[in-house]
Amino acid sequence: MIGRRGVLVATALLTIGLTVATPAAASAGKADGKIAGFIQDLADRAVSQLTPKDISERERARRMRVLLEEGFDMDAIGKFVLGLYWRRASEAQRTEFLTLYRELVVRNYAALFGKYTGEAVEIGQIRPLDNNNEAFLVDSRVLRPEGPPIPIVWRVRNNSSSPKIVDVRVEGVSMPITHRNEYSAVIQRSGGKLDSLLAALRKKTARPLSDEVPAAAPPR
Amino acid sequence: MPLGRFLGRPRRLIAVAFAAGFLSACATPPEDAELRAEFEKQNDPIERLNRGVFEVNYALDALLLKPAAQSYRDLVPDYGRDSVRSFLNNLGTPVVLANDVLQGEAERARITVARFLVNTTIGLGGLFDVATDLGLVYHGEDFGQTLAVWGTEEGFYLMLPLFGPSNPRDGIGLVVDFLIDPFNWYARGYDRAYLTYGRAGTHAVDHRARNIDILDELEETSIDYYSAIRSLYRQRRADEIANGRPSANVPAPGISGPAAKAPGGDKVSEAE
Repeated sequence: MIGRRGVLVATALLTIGLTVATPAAASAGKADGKIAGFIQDLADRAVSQLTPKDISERERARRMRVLLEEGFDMDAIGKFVLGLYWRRASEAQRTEFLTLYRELVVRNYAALFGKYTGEAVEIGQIRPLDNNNEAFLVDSRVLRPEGPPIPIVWRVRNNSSSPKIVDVRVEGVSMPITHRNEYSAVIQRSGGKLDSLLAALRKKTARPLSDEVPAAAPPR
Repeated sequence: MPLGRFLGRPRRLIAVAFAAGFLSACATPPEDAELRAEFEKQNDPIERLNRGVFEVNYALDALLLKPAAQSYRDLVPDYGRDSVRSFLNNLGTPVVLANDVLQGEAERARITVARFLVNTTIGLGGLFDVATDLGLVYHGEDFGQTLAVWGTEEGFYLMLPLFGPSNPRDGIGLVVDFLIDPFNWYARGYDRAYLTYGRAGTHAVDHRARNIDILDELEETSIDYYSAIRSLYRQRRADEIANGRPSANVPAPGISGPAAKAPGGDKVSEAE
């Protein structure tokens, strides 16, 4: 009995000694506060507007589109995703790509948010990437009803009138980089033809969005 | 990853994959210099073979692993699955600890030891992850990551039969982790191979169950699932090697000029 309690006490002491203290959030600079507020506000609105179950697919996509245009620099992201093929594309191809790519992102993320319930976003450290307060990395965590929190890092550009997100990394995985790598492979496999990617994107976004409002939320 | 990363005899599988890979399956690079550079960035010289293996893995997954994971998720309640995961994590302590130490990560090694002490005692043999509630959060480590920290390049992309996405460095890592694991010494020493298989099977089902939604999502939204998985694997590994510390020196849209270097985020292979 004493032996067992001894183990427990030793374990508890060890644990207390070993528990890591989390460093306090970043120094509260003016730009930092603005950026943190921007991300927090956008994330909170995404959760409150996109996760309700009693809206149609079309309405969810519409709300997603508004948030996306407001918070993200989709032109910059689209250009980055196309990479070297952006330079080789005609004006018409560029315009079509940006339109299709936006639509794809809207649909994917609207669908994703439609499955969430009870998530909240907690902002962590804000780290400037340059000395002019023009680019920042924002650490955050998505707190879920079950399971460990998911770390998300936002890359924010702050050199225009309002801050814009240019990259999101979920556990180290970036949406723009994944798309860039994938699309580059798709174009290569068709002998360097951008039109094949455009055709595939057209197909991906062709299905009409439903106006139907779900009666009751499914159990999962 | 389509299939679990721990199974019986990785060495033989890797040997087969290597041999077959070098015999055929080399894709032809484009002639245009710029396009060729883009092609080489994919670092997938045996793509044709890799895609073949991917197809087989995909079929096996659809036939066996995914349905098993689906039933497991539907039938076993959350707390039951949490216990299974905690138990497996606890069982994996020696390998994680060895790699923490080999990477010179003293703080992480201490966390691994403390977690083991807490969860093995108060957590009833690892069934309950009490340590996380005390602020000792789990992290994984493997020898592939250790090699990366030591400066080994990942090498070309390699789709392993059953194990899924990999590369020569991580393939060697799998073998080393298998060989240094006391659990496997025990199973072999006492002629209880079923323990190794049982653990690998449980791990595969648990892992697959956790990733069902994410992989379904990716398959549905991607144009080329194989390429999306390849990109995802490399980015995940880079993140794991950096122990989650974000690296600023990776390409990102809309930010020009030399990016600032994040502390501790160096040596991460670029995700493309």
